[in-house]
Amino acid sequence: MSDADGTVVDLDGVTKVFGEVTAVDGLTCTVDRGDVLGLLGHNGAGKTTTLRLISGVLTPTSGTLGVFGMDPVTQGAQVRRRTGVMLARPPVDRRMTGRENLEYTARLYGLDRSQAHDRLEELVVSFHLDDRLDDLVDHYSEGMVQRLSLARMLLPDPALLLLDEPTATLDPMAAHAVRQLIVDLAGAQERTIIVSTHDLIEASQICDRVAVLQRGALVALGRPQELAGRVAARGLRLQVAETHRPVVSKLAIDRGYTVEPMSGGEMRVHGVGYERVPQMVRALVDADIDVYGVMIDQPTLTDFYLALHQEDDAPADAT
Amino acid sequence: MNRRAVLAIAGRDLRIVRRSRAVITPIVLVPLILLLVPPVALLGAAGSPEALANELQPLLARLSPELPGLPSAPEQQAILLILVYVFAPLFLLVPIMVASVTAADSIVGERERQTLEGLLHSPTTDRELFIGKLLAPWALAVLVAFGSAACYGLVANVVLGRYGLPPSFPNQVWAVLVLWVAPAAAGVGLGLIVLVSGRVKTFQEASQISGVVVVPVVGMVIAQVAGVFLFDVALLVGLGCVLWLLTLLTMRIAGRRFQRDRLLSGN
Repeated sequence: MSDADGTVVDLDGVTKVFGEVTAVDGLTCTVDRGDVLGLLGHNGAGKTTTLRLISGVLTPTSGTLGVFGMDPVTQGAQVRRRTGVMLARPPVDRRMTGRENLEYTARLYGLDRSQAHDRLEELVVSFHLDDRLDDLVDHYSEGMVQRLSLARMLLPDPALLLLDEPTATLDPMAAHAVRQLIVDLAGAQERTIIVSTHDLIEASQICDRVAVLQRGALVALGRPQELAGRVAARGLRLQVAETHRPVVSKLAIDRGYTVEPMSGGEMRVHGVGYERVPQMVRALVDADIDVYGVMIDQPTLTDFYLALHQEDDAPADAT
Repeated sequence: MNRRAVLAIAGRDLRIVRRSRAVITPIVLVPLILLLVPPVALLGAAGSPEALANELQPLLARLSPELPGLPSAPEQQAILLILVYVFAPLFLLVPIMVASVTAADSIVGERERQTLEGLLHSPTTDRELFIGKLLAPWALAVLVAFGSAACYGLVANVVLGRYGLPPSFPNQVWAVLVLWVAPAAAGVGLGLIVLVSGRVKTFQEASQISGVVVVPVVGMVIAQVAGVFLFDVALLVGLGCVLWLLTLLTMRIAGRRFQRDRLLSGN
């Protein structure tokens, strides 16, 4: 539960129950300084509740939490002073200007006037808000609102960032910029980031580790590549001359594999384990097949996530 | 106590109120309708003051021995009683309505606009948040009440002059009403909204609920006209005590319930 050893967030058997619903169920994990942890899971899996528990705006039903070595339940204000939060629905007031929103945040966080002014100027320039800063937020585009929300979050220079679906409403360019920012904030600036997302590709790109939640319980935790590696390889993707495809199919089927035609003239051979790839390629060459491309179809975090949830969603065997 | 954060929350809520037509309209209209229209209407009734005197006969009969300073003419007595005593309960609607409408926007409206959670994640304690959220509505209600009373006093003096009476405002009754009872009444309006805020979903719903306070106030007006009691200094001091107690009680209950966890989980 200590900040000194580099652990910023420490959850130990944390459970949160709302009425008869267990939103978070015995969650245990730690997040170190400079780490980006992704929270994955279906809607209602407990991602947002976990972020709220870390920030101390919800009180756990049982279990213990430590953030910067403090208890968010009893030292919530101190925890939140060092924590920046970006919510799925940006919490900026649309009846105020961008500047008023930022100045309000500065006062809430107790920044002194000159410190706040310098930081504000720096952020509005880097988030390209300077020319519209005195307009009402109601007149901003969604992308601008999201940028303002980011500037608002970073204004008090927080060491821990809690991001709840930060790219969900953004266009591809804006989403890319946010992902890049997350990588920079964690890497160069050593901020600790916990981000909830439904975008598994995004999670693979920006997260050091991901935690998969299912009905509030942690069902997997690890590096994205590590988790993906738990799923069997999908096989080989081959690009061969069209006239040779029947021969390739026969070769594969004779060896006990299955073949799936794909778009763009490709075919996928299922069941070829990593160690059998050279054997398969040699068979193709021996059969005088014109091979234009061979690619091992590596499993991804998406495959892992789908496999995990297919197991869970599968109907129970009838007995 | 982080006073800076409390003032930041209150200041921001006041700024938002200024820009909200749904909030500013009742804040302007309620004092106007309750405190300026009735005395102006009395000017129009200057041609038939006997009718007013007849209406207030029960009160006049009861008060003549109690209020030795009353003018001798029944019409003048009637006008003075109306302006100083009968309209006094109506004045209480001003701080109550202003406080409750502003608090409805500040608490329920903030949740409706989905900006409440951002505030909950700020480095404030539940207590600071609670005080910050109530400070703006209470201060605004008291300020509007003071301003409304000043305007009412001016108009009332003009009306009194029209009936051949010397200016009577400010006076002891209204001084107690404005300085002691009005801030407490604003507190009751706030308490009402805080208590119902967990059960309503929209600002409109919350502000409509505050309309229930009209009933006892109208009851007080009728009771005075019927001669049941008079809004004199003693009664106002007592009323103020009751309202302050009510305010303290509701704030105590509401303060305990005002927790981040409850606000988010709706328990």
